[in-house]
Amino acid sequence: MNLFAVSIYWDLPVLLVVVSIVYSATRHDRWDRIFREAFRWGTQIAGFLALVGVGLYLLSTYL
Amino acid sequence: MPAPEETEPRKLDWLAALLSYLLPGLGQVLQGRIAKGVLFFVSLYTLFFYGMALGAMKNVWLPPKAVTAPLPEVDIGYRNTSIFKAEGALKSLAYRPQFLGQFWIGAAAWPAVLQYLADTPPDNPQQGLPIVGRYMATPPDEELQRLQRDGNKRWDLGWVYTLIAGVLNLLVIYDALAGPAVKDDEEVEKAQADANAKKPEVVS
Repeated sequence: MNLFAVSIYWDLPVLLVVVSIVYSATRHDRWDRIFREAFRWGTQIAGFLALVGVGLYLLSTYL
Repeated sequence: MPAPEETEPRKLDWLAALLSYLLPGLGQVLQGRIAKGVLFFVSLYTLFFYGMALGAMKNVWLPPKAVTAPLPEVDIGYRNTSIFKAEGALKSLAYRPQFLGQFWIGAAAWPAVLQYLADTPPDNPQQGLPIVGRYMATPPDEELQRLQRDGNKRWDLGWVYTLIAGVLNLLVIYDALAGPAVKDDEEVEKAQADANAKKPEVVS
């Protein structure tokens, strides 16, 4: 698997960062809380996507 | 610590909400939350135009009557009984529901509304509006097919990004209207102190 190939997955970080930070900023007014919650959401979304990605990779490779 | 529900509800700021619809974050700037307003503006415009760029700037439009007139009617009903027939802009939205989400980015999506109102046809590349030209006009079918076929899924990913930007701006509009969803401790304490100050003193 060539990770550096031109892939739509390289466009995902923009979406991930914007969704996390905008959502968190609509929940809090204090910057420390905005960034803390944005980081939490960002890692959770990235983790979920990675889990789905690994699942699909395993399915397509071994099934 | 007092529970948030013990404090009075915030006053709704309709002007700020309207401004945040026009330009993401403008309402927050009006309210003095300048850095937050700028954050919203930069984040949402980045996502919206990044999405448009992924789709060769041709994934935000609302099909005009010239396009939808020959298409089958959109009839919502139960069995043989018609309940609602979509016409005009509703028919256009039925054929391009993505625009229902993209619209909420505000002024950035207005060229699509202008193109719809001007009934700009997709099949004449020379015909466009003054200033905006054919920006956000309905693309011809052949071009759409080419973009989808050759775009390595990026054309579709692009409209998803623009749609998410529009829907996220609904949260920003609500933040301008009623403040952040979670009240910070300082705000709760201040409201509680104000309420206590208003209470008459009990004389024993």
